[in-house]
Amino acid sequence: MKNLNEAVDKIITRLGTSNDSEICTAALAAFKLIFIPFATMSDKKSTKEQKNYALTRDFLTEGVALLGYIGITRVVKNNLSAPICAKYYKDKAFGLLKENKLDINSEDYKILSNIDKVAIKNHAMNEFLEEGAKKYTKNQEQYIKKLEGIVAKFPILQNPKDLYLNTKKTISHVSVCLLALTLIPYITNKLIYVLSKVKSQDNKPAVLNKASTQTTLKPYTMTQYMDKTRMGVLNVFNR
Amino acid sequence: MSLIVNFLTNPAAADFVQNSTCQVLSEGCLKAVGRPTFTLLDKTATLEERKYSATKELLYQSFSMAAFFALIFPIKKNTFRLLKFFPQLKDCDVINAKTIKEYQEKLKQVTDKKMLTKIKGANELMSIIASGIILAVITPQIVTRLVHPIMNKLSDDGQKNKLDKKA
Repeated sequence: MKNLNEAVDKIITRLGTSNDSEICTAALAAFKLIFIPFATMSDKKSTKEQKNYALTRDFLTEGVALLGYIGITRVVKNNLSAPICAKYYKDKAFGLLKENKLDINSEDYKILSNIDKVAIKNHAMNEFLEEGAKKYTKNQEQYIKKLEGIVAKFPILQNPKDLYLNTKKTISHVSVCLLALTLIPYITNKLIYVLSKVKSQDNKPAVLNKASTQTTLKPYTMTQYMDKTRMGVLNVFNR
Repeated sequence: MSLIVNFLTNPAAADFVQNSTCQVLSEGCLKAVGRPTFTLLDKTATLEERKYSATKELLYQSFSMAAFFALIFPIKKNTFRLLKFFPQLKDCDVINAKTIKEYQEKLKQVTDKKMLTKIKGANELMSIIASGIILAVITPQIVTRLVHPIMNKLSDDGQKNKLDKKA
């Protein structure tokens, strides 16, 4: 009971802090992985082939969705968020310089156009770590302080921590949408193709065995043999 | 490129995608397009099998969106009544609220940031569970009963059109 309470506490804290798309969609995929094939099985009007195909497809799609939402989305958001933040600062720095209306000096411009991606990522993720476990080098800490100083000068710019976390949330959702629209059904099609190939290879020897057992168990009578092949008929007459 | 960067870094977009209702709806609409299309493109199955699976998929996604729209908002308005079942929130006065108005007023008075995070998280968790029940338990059962009458109707209409063209 204590463990359950702790688990629920962790879940609600996580959902309250950052309700990323992949959590909700993966949870729903897990629900669907169980209940949709069950509903398909209960359909009494469809043929066996239709049911088998739909069942395989439902099961594979939701399985791939569950893995994809957890795995691919995590990889995408962890690897893309910092480069996009860097691009954001670079574009804004260029914009400020182009407009020439704000007093951006060369040092500020240099910092904005050469963003330390690892420092931004560590700085944002430190929010979720306890005091002793925080990831930082001294250089990164100084760099973030400088960056925050520049951000304070120009209200048009977003705070590095908020920027990283916002970007991560949006990328997570975009990744889920792209997976749902194209990648998951595409992978399912490929898996069904592989399964059908494996199934057809498994069926080949089974057919041969069936034929051989039929021959040994039920030997042809002369009439059956004659009916079966023309050559047989000719052979009989030749005799 | 900068348009994409602007969209991805926009705080309003981040706020929008944090809502589980928005997440489910956008994902569901895209699935309603993607899955039946790819099912019909799959050449390993016969046309009948593909038609059945694609129709079922399309109906399922459309009905689940409709059912979700119809049910999730009334459910979300009442999730605060279930907050008392979370032992993590027992010290918070919010759990004693009896109406949505009272709940909102009490929520404004909560100053502890951690408690606010937990209340938000508990609401999201209940919303996810409710979505799961609507989308994975109720809707597939309805769709299973509807798929054959709709497929028959579609094939009847198709045959009628063919006959009309021939005539």
